[in-house]
Amino acid sequence: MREPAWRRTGKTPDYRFSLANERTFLAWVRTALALLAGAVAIDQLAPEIAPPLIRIILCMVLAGIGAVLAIVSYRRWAHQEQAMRNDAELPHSWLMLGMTVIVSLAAIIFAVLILVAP
Amino acid sequence: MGPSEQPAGELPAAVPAAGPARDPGLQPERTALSWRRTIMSAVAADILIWRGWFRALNGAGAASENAAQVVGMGVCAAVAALTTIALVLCAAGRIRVLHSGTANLEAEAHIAAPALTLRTASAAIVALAAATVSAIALGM
Repeated sequence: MREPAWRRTGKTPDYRFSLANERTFLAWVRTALALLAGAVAIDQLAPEIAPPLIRIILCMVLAGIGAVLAIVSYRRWAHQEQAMRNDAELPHSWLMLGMTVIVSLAAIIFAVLILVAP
Repeated sequence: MGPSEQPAGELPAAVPAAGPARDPGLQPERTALSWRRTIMSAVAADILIWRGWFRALNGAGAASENAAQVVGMGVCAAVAALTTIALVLCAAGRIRVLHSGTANLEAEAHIAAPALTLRTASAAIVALAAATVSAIALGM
């Protein structure tokens, strides 16, 4: 069996909840992909945005966050379905607050870099 | 029948939908479209990585010292293509089930995503992130 053991516990959720959970996973995956595309786009299309070392570090941090987000989105999907199977409260996640802070910080940093760029 | 045969102010009666029962909330359709959007996002990231490789190819010229860069960028571009193929296979499998499964929506376990599919998609993004970081490092 390829399915994890927790998928045979509790009761199978209503298919609408399963599909909504899947779409939430996909939305986070697209956020991760946007971070990856943004990292390469800044590196290639805006080489003058900052001194090379700073630019490369910022782009790599963005790509790294994208990788972490891809893993977190799978874990979140699994935890949500486990909660639904066991009629438990949906788990609280710091993912939304975390991503809000990260995206805000990225926006501020790149706005400042664009403003001070020669 | 033409519009002239309709009594004024009345719409023709709705034709009962032929074929299998469908979810009134269009949940399977929305999920299938969500997979398609995800593929498009992945292709956008790919194109930028391939662009980096083409630029390295064109900049290579006679200088042989950046042959390693060209090869490295080529590996990144190949990894990006492979991750997208993996994502497309995941999406194709899901879209097939979502579009065929509307007849037996009560078979809930049948239409829910297999954990393996989502794990593969997640792993593909991690691999794409590795290719992205390598492409940025090689572009230095």
